[in-house]
Amino acid sequence: MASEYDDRDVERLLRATLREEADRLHPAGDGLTRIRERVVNRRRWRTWLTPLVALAGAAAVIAAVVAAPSYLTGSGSKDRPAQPGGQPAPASPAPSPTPTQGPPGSLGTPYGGDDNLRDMLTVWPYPSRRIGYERADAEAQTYPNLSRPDLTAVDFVASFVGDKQGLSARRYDAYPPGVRMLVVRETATGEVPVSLVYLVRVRLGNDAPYVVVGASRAGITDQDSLTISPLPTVPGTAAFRVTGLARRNQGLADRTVILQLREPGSTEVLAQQSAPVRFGEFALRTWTADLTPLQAPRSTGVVAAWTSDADGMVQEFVAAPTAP
Amino acid sequence: MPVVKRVERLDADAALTALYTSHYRQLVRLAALLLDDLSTSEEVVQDAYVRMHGSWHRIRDPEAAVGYLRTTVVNLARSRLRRRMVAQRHAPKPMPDAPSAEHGALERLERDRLLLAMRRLPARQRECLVLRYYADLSEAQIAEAMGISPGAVKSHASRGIAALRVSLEAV
Repeated sequence: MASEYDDRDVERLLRATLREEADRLHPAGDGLTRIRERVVNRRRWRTWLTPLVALAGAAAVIAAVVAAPSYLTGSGSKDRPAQPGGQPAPASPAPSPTPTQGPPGSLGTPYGGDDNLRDMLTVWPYPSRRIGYERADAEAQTYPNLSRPDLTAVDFVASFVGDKQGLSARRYDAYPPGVRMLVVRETATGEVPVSLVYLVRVRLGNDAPYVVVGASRAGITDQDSLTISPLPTVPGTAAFRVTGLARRNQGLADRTVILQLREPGSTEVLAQQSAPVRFGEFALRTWTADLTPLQAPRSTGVVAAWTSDADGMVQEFVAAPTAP
Repeated sequence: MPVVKRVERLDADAALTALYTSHYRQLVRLAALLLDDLSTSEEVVQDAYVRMHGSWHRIRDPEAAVGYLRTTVVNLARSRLRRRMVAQRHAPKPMPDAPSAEHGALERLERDRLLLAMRRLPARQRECLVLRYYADLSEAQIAEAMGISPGAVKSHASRGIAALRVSLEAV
């Protein structure tokens, strides 16, 4: 009996099935934040580990030097009084300066008396979860909406794009450290997704304030526009370059990508630039802009990019120091 | 890929950002096809990026970094699968998968059957097929990512395809 499928049929079906299956999967947009946290934790661990290893190595060398003459002359452990059971007496314990955690307040360490909550970098309105824990309730007049994730997400988006008109947010899903809110804008043609905002609580409890960890287009449709990228290092007031992709969703008009550099938790704009995107007949175009900070950020910068209207979107971008 | 080329002279942090932007999503999807679990796949890929960041002084070349990431993801996914299989041996047996009511179309059923058959393949065969038919890698690239010879890649792939064909026909 002839086979119903030949290898080519199976290969074709397999390719289509894997593609379809993969396209259904949308990674959370906080991957880079999590990777950076882990890199920071690893660095801190190494900072402690390196001198300890060196110290242990030095101690081993000293011990070997001290022990070698007595071993070579045959006057080593034989002269040491034995413990009951025939075991040699243990050496006196070495002082153990090993700290098990970094300094208080460092990222990744538990805080607030609850080991379940750990510090992490955040974007808005505070630079870290711990600082949010310390200030959010006290600054309820300044940020009155922090206990509402929908309003917090809208306030956050409006703090960048400047226009709150028509913005609303609804719960998208939960992700391990918090919640994702889909911010949309109501337009004449219907609802347009603007950004997927990632929030975490600063303490346990149903009334605990939320802070924003990130915002990204990843995970929703191809139409949202506001995307946040942490910038690893901004060297003083040196210029840096931001390169990305933009997609034209409707119409033929050119778009403008707007870029801002801020410090996490700050509304002060350290640099702003526009990048014109001339689509022509293409739906996807790259854009580039150089940003020069007005003053040196005190900490890591956050770069936000968004398009000038709801019909365009920033697909991907990367910010990096300009190569010398 | 222009974004990746630009990281050539940058430090590990900048390289991490560029490679995240250009490859993170695809690697998560690749891992998810090997692991069937998005959240574990994200962990695995994040782990690969952390390792790449720590080894950047040795890697330097962005193209090599992509290969490094892919190999690490495959190895970590394999290791997770091994652990999961040990755990599953002691877990109660799940109900057999059945297509849902709305999946009436023949094509949909065919794809569901194929995915189910993929999950039952030995890990190496599955890796070969995902790297070949999802990631579109050459035999040499698959061999590098899996740490096996090109001949072994051929053998795993052809056995995998044969097993899938048998599963599709066995209705």
